[in-house]
Amino acid sequence: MTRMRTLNNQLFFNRWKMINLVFLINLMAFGIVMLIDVVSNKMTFKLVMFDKWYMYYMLLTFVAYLVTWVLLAKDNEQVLFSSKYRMIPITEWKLYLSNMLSSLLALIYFWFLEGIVNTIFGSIQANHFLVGNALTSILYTKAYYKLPNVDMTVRSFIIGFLSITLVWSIVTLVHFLISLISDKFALKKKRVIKYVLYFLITYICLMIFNSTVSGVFVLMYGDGFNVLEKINSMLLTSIFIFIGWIVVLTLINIYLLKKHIETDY
Amino acid sequence: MSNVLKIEELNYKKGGKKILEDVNLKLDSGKIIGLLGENGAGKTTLMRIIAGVNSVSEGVITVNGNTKKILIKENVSLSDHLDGFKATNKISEIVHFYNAVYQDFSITKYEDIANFLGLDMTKKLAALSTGTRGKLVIALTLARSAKLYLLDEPLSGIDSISRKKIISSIIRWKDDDSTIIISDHYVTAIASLLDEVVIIKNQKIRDLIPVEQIQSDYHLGIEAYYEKVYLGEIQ
Repeated sequence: MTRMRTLNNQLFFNRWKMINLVFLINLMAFGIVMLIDVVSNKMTFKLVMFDKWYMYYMLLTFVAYLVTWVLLAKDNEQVLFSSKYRMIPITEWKLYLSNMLSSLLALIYFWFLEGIVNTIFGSIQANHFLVGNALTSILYTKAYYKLPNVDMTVRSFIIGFLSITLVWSIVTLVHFLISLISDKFALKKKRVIKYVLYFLITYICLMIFNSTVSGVFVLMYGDGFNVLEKINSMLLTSIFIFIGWIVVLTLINIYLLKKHIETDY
Repeated sequence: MSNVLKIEELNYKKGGKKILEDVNLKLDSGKIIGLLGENGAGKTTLMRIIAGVNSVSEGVITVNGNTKKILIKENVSLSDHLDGFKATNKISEIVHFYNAVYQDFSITKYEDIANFLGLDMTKKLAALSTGTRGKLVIALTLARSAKLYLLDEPLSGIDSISRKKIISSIIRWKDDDSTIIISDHYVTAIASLLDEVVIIKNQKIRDLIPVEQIQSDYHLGIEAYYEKVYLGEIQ
């Protein structure tokens, strides 16, 4: 039997290469933007340009992040529908979890790479302010580096992470259900029906999700939440709701993968 | 001789259409069996069901005494057409993948077969001709130590020289106790290899017959027998 770690390494390696490529393109695009900016400023270099460049970089990173997210989601789906992976002697739940885990690790790796560039920018900006105005810079850098609330930051980060997992799980469920329905019934105008199904299933998932989440929040915070602690505990509740949904969707997806889902190629 | 494969009451539908109906089959180990049938007869589907890639809604598949899907996958080596790999993947990367994920994959055996077939590890998948790709598929499939090898149309679209090489490699690297099922609709190409023949017609297993019996009872070659079965001249 193939070990989960072995499969995970294989899946992560492919995604690692993909992330490196996206990051490289991101940096190259940023380099071109910087070059255009310098050329349009008649080859003069000003410290203030760093702020603008940082803004450009953030914008490009946001685009790169979206591209990465979509590519990983696509790769996730391809693994589950490919004979290359489905032939391997490993249980469906190990295949599913390895797939999801390696995508999440790849995303963390992307964040890590972007984090390095951000830190470099941050340190350049801090030095830049020190050159300009000592007092302002001390106040600014202190504010810049001061974390507003460690708990809230950590919880927000976890929610971000969980929401990505949740959306990927929903995408897989939708893909599985479409494949299942197409396999069971002889569908004419398959493409149109697929899109209608995609819309319907997404709508139903969102409705169920929305009513559950809002129901829980109304029960818990019916009197409003304008206090920091309440926001913090709301984040904690969200984490539990997200985990619950991920577990439910994962179980459904693994069941469908095991019993009904066949490969496309 | 023990049964390496047992299929009981298998029914399979896809898109509301019956692909396989009431399939029952028992195959002994150590043989090379031809799975014959026209295009769309269900040969590939049957192989994919046996390999655990397609789901079984009705029926039981037993491979080497195992009915659990994961144990079946351990015992079966299915020829994959490598569509899941990127065109930019080198042969060496594909071999590395196989070596990592299949515990029964032997690099030494792969290298022997690859040398015999003239495969170059540095070449990319996109640069391979149909014949070379077919050779790679055979080398990867046979380099596993499985009880049952499923070769799905291994000679399809391949020139006669490569075809001969592939056939030679199948004979040369087959273990005595392993079984090989080869599907094809070009019967002549594989006829020389076969010990037994399974014919699929109208979604059902029409026949399981030893090659010797075809010759002794019907005085026919495999291809002629197959054609007569399809035309309904042999019931």
